[in-house]
Amino acid sequence: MHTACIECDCIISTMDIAEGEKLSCPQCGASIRSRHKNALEKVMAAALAGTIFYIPANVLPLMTLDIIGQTTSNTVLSGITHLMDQRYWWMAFLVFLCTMLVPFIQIILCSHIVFCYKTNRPHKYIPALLKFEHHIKEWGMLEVYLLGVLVSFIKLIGMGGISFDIGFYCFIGLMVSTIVMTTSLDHWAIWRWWENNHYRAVNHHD
Amino acid sequence: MTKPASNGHVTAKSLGLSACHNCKKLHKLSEHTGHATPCCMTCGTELHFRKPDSLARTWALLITSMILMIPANIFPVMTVVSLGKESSDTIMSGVILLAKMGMIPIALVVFIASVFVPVIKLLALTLLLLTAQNHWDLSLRQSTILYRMVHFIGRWSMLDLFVISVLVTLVDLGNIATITGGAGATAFGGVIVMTMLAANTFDSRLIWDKKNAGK
Ligand SMILES: [Zn+2]
Ligand SMILES: [Zn+2]
Repeated sequence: MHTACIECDCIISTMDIAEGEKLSCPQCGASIRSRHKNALEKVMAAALAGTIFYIPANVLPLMTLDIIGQTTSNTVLSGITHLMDQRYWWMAFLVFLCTMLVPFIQIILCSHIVFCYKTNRPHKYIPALLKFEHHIKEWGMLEVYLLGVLVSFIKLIGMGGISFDIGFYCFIGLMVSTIVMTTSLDHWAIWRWWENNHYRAVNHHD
Repeated sequence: MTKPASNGHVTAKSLGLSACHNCKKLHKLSEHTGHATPCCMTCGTELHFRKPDSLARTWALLITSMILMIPANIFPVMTVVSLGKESSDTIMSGVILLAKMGMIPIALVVFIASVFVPVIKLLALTLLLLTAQNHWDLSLRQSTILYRMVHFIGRWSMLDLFVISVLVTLVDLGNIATITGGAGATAFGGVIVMTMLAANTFDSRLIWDKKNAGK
């Protein structure tokens, strides 16, 4: 008896699965745990790639629009500052949160968590990091933003010459990195590792 | 410990157990623990058999988003000023305009993300709440699919806000053409945030309780 399904409260008798396997709830089918092959390496590689792509993806131009000789281009960052200039603070905040802040925090958290796990340092603050990572996950919306860029692209085709720029490809890199990073992170394994080592450290003190 | 029967499934609550929402560790939790809320030994999260006041909280968030749906749909989300001519678009008129211009696939994408998904989400959450509250006999399979869908599709409604953010930046050509945001988009952002929070406060285990109790 290991845990209960978060969606239907059904007892899950074992969480032990092989690498590359997925475990679903026998009653409701909710995904309980998935272990990717070489999950640790994947998280680390994706976090590194995400770090490299993060700044270019946000400050390099995504698209360039050319209307009668006048050209403009946009970046993720300028999309936010423009909304702020127009005093749409709430919208600016939402775009900032979902496309810049959450992916940034996720990269920091995931890379730090797997670093501590790999080097076996069960710091006291690891639970706080894991909880935070779990809660903000659904607010990272890079793939939705990408669809927004594509929709805008098609909308503007009629207005003038429009083309993708270097920032667009960096953005795709950042998006793929964060998706690989967050889906490969095996929360169950890290919680149990922390638990065992934390208790051992506490017992050692007594 | 009782072994799950071969045909049915055992819930943690029926064994007096509760799985921590964060670290998934199972804890023995007696029904009456007095005033102090028990906390997870591993991570310190408060333990409950079911999310506290799940129905009331979800109703509150759901009703807020329903109210916000009104300004989101009557106020313009975007204003285009092109060569001195000004035209404002609400969510729906923007979709109709796209369809009229012959961009049917893109109109469909925007329609699904900004009209269909929010409405379906509000209806689905209402149905789930009523099912959990009145012990309705909605099929468990359907309820589960509905709940997963609400969780999965909610974020895609943010599409319209992102499109506005891209367009106001890109179409900023002084007298030739300028696009600015609108109050409707602010309200629409509120709708999305509220429904995402509502999906989180809803405890889907309440739906399964009925089935597991009625055996
Ligand atoms: Zn389940
Ligand atoms: Zn816990």
